[in-house]
Amino acid sequence: MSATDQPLEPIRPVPAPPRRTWSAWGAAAVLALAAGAAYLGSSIFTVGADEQAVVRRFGRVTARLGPGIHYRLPWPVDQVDVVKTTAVMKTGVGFDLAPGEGPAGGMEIVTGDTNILNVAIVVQYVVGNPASFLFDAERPQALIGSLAECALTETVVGMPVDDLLTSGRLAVQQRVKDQTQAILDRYGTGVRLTSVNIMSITLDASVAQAFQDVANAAADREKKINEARTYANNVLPKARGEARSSVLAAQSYKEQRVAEAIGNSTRFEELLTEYAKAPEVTRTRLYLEAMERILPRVKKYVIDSSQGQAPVNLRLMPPSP
Amino acid sequence: MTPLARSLTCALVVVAAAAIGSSLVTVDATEYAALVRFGRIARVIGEPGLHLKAPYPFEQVIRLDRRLLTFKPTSAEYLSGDKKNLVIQGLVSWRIASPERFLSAVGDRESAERRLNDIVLARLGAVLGHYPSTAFMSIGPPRTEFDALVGRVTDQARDLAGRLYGIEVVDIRIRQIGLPDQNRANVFARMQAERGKIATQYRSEGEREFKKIVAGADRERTQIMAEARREAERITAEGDAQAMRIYAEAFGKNPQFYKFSRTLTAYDKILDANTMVFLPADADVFRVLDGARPPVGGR
Repeated sequence: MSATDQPLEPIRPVPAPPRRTWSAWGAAAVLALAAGAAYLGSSIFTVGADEQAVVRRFGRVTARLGPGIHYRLPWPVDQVDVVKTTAVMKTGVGFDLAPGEGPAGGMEIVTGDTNILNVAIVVQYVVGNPASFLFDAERPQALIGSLAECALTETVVGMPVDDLLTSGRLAVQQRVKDQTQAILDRYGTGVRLTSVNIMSITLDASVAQAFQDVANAAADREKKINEARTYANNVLPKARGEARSSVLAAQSYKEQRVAEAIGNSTRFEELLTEYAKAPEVTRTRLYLEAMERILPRVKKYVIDSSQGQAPVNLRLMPPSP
Repeated sequence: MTPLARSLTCALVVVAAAAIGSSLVTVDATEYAALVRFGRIARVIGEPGLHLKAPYPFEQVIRLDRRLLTFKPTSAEYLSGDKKNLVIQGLVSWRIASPERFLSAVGDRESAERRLNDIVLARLGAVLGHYPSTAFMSIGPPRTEFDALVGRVTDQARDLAGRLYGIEVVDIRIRQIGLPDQNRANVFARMQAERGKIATQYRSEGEREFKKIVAGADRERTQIMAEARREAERITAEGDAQAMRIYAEAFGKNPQFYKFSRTLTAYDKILDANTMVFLPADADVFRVLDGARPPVGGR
């Protein structure tokens, strides 16, 4: 400033009367104008698409503004806080949620059957009511974490360790979420939880092996049961097949037997028809036919029964002289 | 204007501005403003916004947080009713309910938390002694005792803190329940033993289940086979009976003839090359020979 005010001063042999006053007033005016413009300019602000703004006039909440360009009265009248409301925020329980850093350790909990575990959970939330979120509770993020911790403890001390490790995990998450949400609502923090997730459950090194063995034993049990099922699935169809085939065999026996009977009786009936026509002849014929068939192959002795003594000549020759 | 008058005016303006400035007070949404007049609390402004007060030397402003505050009491070891040691860490949420009383009895936040800490530890210790440790840790049905216990501590602390310090205890919760360090080794040993037992149980369960399924399958197979045999027998017998019926019906038409022809068939089968037959000469085969003519040669 001074350089422009007194550009020629060093050259002048005689100091001129200072003309500083006028130029100083002008500079001050320019400065004041600039400051005023900046001051007024600072009162224009934008709210992003995922944000909401809360305006406090002299400390009192007067407006909640959505996305867009807005005007406010400059300091010290209005104060604006911008909060992301659609983005999901996270807080970790049992570990610090540093970006790029996985859950380490977790918080130590004791289950209902006095087992000690370490659990790390992540709570995600959105800001539902920015004014409440900003002004009704101190450090809401830390509060959410602490309350989730409480809910986890209260849930877990009432359940056996096996539930937590296996089937009950989802239920625990749900319960912690519901309970934490209920308390947050009661406190009026303007926070809506979107999820509670168990990130890790870890065991002390001295017992990890034993827990692993239980898992192995459960797998063994399943394997054994599957083996047995395989056996049953193999044996039973085979037995059914055998059963079916033996029934089928019986059925074919029956059919055969019946067919045979029908055949035989049909033959007999036909014979009988013939017989009825000429009983005596048929009888004799049949008899002789049968004898013809039989006698040639047997050894025969014919006895004259009327005398009842000497055997008849074998060859039916006339008795020797 | 004389220089003196000018400086006087200047001074006056400055003083007036300071007076006006100091007689305005902005109260934020997050705070109470207590106006202190010569060391005594004159009034408390609870409503956020711009307010008037007496200028500087007459009234001073003390700002107090009106938000919900939380703090974590120091963790401590307690003895439950059944003489079990538990390490409990709590969480206290509170707010200043009566700024006047708070300012006169407590003053600031640190001492408030110190006092709350004392209250909570003492109450928790006293109440816990009346409950067994199973009120905290159990796997039974939902424990109403837990809520009752925490509720009792909360009620007592709320009553005390409200009466003495102008503090509203909003909530006391249990953040963590632990076991003292000297018990941990035992717990881990017990956990290990338990797991071993469970593993053994699973394995024997598998064994048992295996046997059950296999035996069941075997039994079912036997059953299937027996049923099939019975069925086969039944069918066989049915066939026999049917055949018999057919035979009886046909043969019954002339039993004599049947006997005759069947006997012949039977002879055909019975008498083979090894059979020796003694035929009476008057057998039917020879009957014809018996009479007029002498037998001819050949058979």
